[in-house]
Amino acid sequence: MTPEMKERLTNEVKDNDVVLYMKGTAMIPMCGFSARAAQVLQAVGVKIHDVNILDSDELRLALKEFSDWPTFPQCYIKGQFIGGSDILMDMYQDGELQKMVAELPKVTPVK
Amino acid sequence: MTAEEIRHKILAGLPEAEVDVQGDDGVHFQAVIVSERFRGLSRVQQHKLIYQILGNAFDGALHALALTTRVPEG
Repeated sequence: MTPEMKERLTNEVKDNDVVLYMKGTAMIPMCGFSARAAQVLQAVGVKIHDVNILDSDELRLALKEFSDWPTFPQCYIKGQFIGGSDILMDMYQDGELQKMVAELPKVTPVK
Repeated sequence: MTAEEIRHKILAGLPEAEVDVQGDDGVHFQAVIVSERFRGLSRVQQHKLIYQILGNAFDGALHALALTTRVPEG
């Protein structure tokens, strides 16, 4: 991974409360797991900084190294690596995700 | 890649675990794993443990594995 890419990723997860590196976009997900992750984040009403990793192989490979995680989507909340859609679902079902984003500004009505 | 192969790989790394793997399209799988080794680990650490055990399986056909990891009850 190039130093520029590492700096970009480090800043991106720091400057955005919720970052979702996914296949496609939150509006047009291109993979079931990415779609589910975006839906869970929309359900708790937070603004998603979604990044389409299909746009760049360099980004996709860099993220596997940056997060030390082999699959996508990859979610960061307040700079902390959370995981993929299965972890987001798990956290949503036991209320941990709602607690984690409680103080963040909400964009959509909470379901 | 079949569900059975994934199950064997995980059991090789976690012999005492309870492992159930579903998925019949060769690419998307769901695994539920209950193991004492997860006690005290965060979800990310638990999943990373499984990814390490599965090694480079992800470079091939396996690119979607939904994991549910649990510590044994009681």
